[in-house]
Amino acid sequence: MYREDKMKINTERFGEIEVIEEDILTFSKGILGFESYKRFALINTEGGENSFYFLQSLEEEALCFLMLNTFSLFPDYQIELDETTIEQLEIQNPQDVIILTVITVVKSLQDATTNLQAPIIINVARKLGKQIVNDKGNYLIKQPLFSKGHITEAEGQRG
Amino acid sequence: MLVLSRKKGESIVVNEEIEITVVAVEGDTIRLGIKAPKHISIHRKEIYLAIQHENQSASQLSLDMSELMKFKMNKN
Repeated sequence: MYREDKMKINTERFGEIEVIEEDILTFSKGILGFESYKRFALINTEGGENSFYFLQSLEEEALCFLMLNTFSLFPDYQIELDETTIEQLEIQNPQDVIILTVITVVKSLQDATTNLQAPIIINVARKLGKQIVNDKGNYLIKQPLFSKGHITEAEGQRG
Repeated sequence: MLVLSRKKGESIVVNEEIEITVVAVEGDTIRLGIKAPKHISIHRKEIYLAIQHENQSASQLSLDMSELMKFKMNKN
């Protein structure tokens, strides 16, 4: 009989939480600036119509990123995965890939920005993730989430 | 670190597949041409530093959870 493997992890933000094996991702190259942390739990916040996730480190309880499901706010976002990334993340079907971008919140969510230049690519089938540099378009490191006309900056040159 | 002197038009080859050529020298600016297979990613180092810095800021998350829960997408 199928049983979900649960594990308890300690986090600074949420206290002790239970995550299922399904939600645990491995970042073999880490996240830029945090290369020593390899395992993260992807936690759905249920806020904002499933557009936000937390990426909580399993190795450092204080390390937690708020992530945006990029296409939910930036439906025209463009990205091309290079062969190295496809190989490293063992991607076989494009539909297994989700694209998230890191959110920086300084004051309130209304003023938050997201880093469209360095998306996090996740292969949900293999539970592998990686942060890459997106060469497409002129995407901003600090793209405001909620300003009007948020796509204007992103439509710059291609290739 | 390996240090090599190169003149304009001269190249170095890395690992038999990456060729870096000094295209032009203008004052203290050097223009480099890089020939590499498609799977090699090449970026200015500042980009990595900027991304690292942004990740650092993002990890100092000051977020009121209730704000997130109450949040309704407003796509206009």
